[in-house]
Amino acid sequence: MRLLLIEDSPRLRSTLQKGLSREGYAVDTAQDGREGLWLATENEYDVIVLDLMLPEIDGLTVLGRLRGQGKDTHVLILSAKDLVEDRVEGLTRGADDYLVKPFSFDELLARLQALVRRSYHAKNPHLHVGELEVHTAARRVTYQGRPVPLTPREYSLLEILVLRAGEVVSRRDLWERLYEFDSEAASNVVDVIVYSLRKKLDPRNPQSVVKTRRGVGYLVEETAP
Amino acid sequence: MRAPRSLRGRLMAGLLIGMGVLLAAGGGILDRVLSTRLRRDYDTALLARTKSLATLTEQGSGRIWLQYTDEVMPDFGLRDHPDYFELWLANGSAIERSRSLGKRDLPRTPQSHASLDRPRLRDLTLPDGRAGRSAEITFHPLSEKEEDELRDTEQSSGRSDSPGDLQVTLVVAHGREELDAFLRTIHLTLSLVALGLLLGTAALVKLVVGAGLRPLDDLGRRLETMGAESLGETLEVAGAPAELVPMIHHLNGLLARLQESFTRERAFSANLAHELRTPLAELRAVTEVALRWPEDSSSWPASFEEIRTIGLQMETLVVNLLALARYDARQSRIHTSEVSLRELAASAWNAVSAAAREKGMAFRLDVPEGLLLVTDREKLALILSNLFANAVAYGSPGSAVRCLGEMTPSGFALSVCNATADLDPEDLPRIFDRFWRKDSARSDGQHAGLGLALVAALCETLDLGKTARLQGDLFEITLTGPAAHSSSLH
Repeated sequence: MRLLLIEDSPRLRSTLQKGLSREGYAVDTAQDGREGLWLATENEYDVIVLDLMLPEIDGLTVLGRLRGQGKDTHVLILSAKDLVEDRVEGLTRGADDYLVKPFSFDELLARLQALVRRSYHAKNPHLHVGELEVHTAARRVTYQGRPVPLTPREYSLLEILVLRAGEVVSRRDLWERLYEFDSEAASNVVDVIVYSLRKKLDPRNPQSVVKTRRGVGYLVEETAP
Repeated sequence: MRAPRSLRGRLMAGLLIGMGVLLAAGGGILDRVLSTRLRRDYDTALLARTKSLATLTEQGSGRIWLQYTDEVMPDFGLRDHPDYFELWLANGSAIERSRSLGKRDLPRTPQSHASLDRPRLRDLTLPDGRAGRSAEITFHPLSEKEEDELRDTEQSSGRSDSPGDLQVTLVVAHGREELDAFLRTIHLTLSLVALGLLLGTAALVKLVVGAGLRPLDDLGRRLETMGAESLGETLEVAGAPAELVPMIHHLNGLLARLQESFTRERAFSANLAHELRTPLAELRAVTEVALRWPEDSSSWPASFEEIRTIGLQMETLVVNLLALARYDARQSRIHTSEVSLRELAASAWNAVSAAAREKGMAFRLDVPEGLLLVTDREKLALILSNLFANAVAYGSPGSAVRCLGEMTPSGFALSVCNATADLDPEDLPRIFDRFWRKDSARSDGQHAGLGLALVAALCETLDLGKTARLQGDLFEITLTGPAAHSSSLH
């Protein structure tokens, strides 16, 4: 899953980027409103985490301009402004969620996951596709009743495919959701992750869950075994 | 608790009491005039009647008689509510009385001096029990001869008593029930008219006072609906009565000042929240992310360093806030001593000289060697270090910070001046506000916007004046103090 974090505090920005990346999110960061608006306009993100008091262009203006451009990316406001009217204004201007600083990292993760699920119209945090179960809240996967230990990137890739079950997801799309804007990861890195994931899910029948559509991308069928 | 005095009530009470007094006085005077006039007319008629009876009294041959018959004057006859008269000789023997009187007597004054010109009038109870009024005159009846002469010469006065004249006293009495009834009617009518006028006035006053005070009520209602969120609105002056216009202007001024205070208060709260919440959020994020992957011990030193930096930053914030609170509460004691301003400024600059060098900023100290101040050295040093730190932090890179001190006719002046590209003239009124920063995003975690607020509080503590001005891109803060603070060796 790919996030954009627009936060002017360098310390908070780097800490959150580090924590979220470890959780398997691809995190792009921006230190002011202008840069954040540009990144949000130029790229597709699952969620934008937006501070309100930003240099150059304030957060509410960034939000207004994004919505004005027709961008419907989920936006989570992360702000020190804690008044009810601040939250109401943020939500009425088009934000999907509002979290007041200081916050729990776990709560931030949970809210991000909820927003990601909403992006794919999945309300239940337990995703079932055949014998595959993905617990999005705990970021845990079981296949045929057996826990499958995955790296954050493997988990994220599988979550994307399960959330979009029945839909072929291109390698490019997967790469963009797994890696940051300025990542130097090679383009075949997605194939490497899929290979590793298949081995962990079912070493005897690697194509059983994640299927390849040659020249297009990968797919988890809605009625996977 | 005493109820608040109502303007409407006071106006109505005042107007009604005043109107009541005026009506009572007017009614009383009118009643008095009418009564007097009616009584006078009554007395005039009574006297005319008495005089006509007197003219009918004649004397001759040592005898007096009254040419009177009931037919000519039936009022003195036997009838209901009759009139009365009685005629006495000087010796008190009654020689004639009206038929209505029968054998009774009317009261008369012994040795009366009443005359035709000066009759005696008095109230009395008539023989039939009615209230009445009598006229009493003492005169010499005319003889037949005199009467003829009088007719011949047409003389009506200058009559002189001749020897042998007889003097008589005539009392004529008339019932006054009609007069009294009429006077009572007048009293009642006047009282009712006054009461009616008073009631009418009360209704009118209520109406007029209500209409007159309606703009005040409207103003009150308008103010009642105003809250913290509507302080930016102004009260409408157009259409307001002239008396209320100055008050509305004052209220609008007050609302504007309140709005400004609220805005500042809100900004203060928001800024304080930001200054406290952001490092707390950083602290929590750093610790929670570190604790989430405890196996990654290699990242611990960096996390600890982050936590320490955040702690120090918060400590500075808290120390500054506590200092401000102490200065506000005047809890800080002042220890005065003689201070060389030049030495103190040079010492304060040392603390920021490294940061200034990094920005390529120079320092120009234009303070005379001999300029001495009698003040609190520590607090003045804090003022100077905050002013210099502010100048270095927000001054244009490569520019110079100038510190100028001089004696003035009223004491001393100390200015710190630096070039800056960030400020606008409209920022100046807020430059000493707590947490105010030009950068509304407050991105720089190094500054909280309390430096100049501390300068302001310290100036207040040391009774120093302070002004901030902007000339082009030159920002200057000037401190001034009275002569008692300063002395010069030169």
